[in-house]
Amino acid sequence: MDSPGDRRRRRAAALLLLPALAVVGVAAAIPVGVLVRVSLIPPGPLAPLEGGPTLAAFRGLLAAPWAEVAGGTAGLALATTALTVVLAFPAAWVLSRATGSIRSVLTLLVVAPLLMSVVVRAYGWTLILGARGFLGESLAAVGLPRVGLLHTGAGVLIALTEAFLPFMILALTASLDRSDRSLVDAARGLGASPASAFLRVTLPLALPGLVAGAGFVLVGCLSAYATPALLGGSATRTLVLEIYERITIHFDWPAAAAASLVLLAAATALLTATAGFSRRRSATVFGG
Amino acid sequence: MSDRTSRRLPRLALGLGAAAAFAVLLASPLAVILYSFSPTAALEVPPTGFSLRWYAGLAGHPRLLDGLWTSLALAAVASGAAALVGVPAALALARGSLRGREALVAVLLSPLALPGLVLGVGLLTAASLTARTTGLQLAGTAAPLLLAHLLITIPWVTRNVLASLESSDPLLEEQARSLGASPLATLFLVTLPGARPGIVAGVISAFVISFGNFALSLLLASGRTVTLPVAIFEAVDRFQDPTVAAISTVTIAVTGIAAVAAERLSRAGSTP
Repeated sequence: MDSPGDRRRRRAAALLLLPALAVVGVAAAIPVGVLVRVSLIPPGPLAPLEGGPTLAAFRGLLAAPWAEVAGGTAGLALATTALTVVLAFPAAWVLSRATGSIRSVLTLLVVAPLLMSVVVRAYGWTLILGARGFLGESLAAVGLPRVGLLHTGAGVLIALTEAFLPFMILALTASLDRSDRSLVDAARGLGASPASAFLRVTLPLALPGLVAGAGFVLVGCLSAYATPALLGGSATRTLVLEIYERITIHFDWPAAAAASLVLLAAATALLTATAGFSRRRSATVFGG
Repeated sequence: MSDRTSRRLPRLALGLGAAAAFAVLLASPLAVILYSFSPTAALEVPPTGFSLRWYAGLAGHPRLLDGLWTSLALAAVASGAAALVGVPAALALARGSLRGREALVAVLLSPLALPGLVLGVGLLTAASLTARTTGLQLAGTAAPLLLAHLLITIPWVTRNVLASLESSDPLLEEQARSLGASPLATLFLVTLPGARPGIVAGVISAFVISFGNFALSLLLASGRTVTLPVAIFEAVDRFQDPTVAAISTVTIAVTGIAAVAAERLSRAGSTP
């Protein structure tokens, strides 16, 4: 069934694809392979890069400080995700109803922060949240006591929420754009209260976007380094901060490699599960 | 509660919530820009004046300026190289009638899902293993850094160009071929001009992503030459004045210029 032309076309396509696949293969597969190998070396400060294979580095992750840090990181990621949903839903609702140039401007406001470096955005929050920052000085200017949120968990939560809010707004807007607004009108016309129309019609329609967005935000929080490091000070320990210290302070490569692999597995599982759920769900809601 | 207020209240709540969300998104860059023009080292509310002295003062901070040039050069090379491998890949995926196309797309987009620091740890470990086994010193050179930035920029080029090619009409290419145009002429006169918005958007996104990346550069760009986000990260605690705000505002301006350029270039000449 394959004509010679088809085959020639396919061979040319394979050739065009090769450089990109080679780069991704070398730059992504080799580091992951190396991490697997190094994670099987006996861990410890200044551990030499040889010996094993042993699962000691993975067993070490069950002990202090890892278990506690992992729990704290997961809690921070969940709290950030919840806060992004609360803020993103109204923004997405307004965005999906806006038209013309208002919609363009609002979309630009949502996308613009994504173009800026996370370091710059985190630095901006240190300027706002410090006791001598915009927040503290504004409070003092109107005669209230100075309050600073720098180096607190609340500060990290606020900055992480801002860092990942655009993803959630974009994901929810995509879902709301696809859903038929007349369904809400129909529910209201049939006597549903605004609250129950929201809970039983709008929310289920937005669910695919919400879950896809949550996947992005959770993985983003698990992988974040600059924001917790700049805003949390010594008050916040996260998995990624701990991995970085294993390498730069303890020179414990096997422990860092094992923790990196666990993080990678968690991120991949979360993204696969949320993207899969979102796809199935939008297939049932929107009919494929 | 009357029916009118019961209808207005949710709208009011949604409007206020949206306003809060947009305020949160704008707060951080506005704080940086505002503080960079402060006449005093201390942050003042309300501001007492306007000054460019912190921008002028950047001349005396070579580590920040070197970081700016390093980041600009790295972003230019990475996005250029990403275009060289990403555009052909997107062409192959869009027009090559390949088997397992979905899987190939997933592989090329997979770097987007890799946590940056994990990739950095992996590349740094790979570099030190290479040094131990072959004596080849890669750690501290530009090679791992460039490779890492190329890896995370390829998905942006591929995805944007692929979307452009898929929305453009292949019939136009068939007509060009049947009217006697060679495959190469068709590629350069019909297919690639048709994909122009995707190529522009992809390359400029790649530039911006590389320019702002921190997680990869943190481990791979240590030593004497660092990228600008790493230099800014180190400088935050060192400076108790708007110097960091000034260089940060410069990065915001660079990304703003890139965004405007993307908008202009993708429109100019795209419609015959």
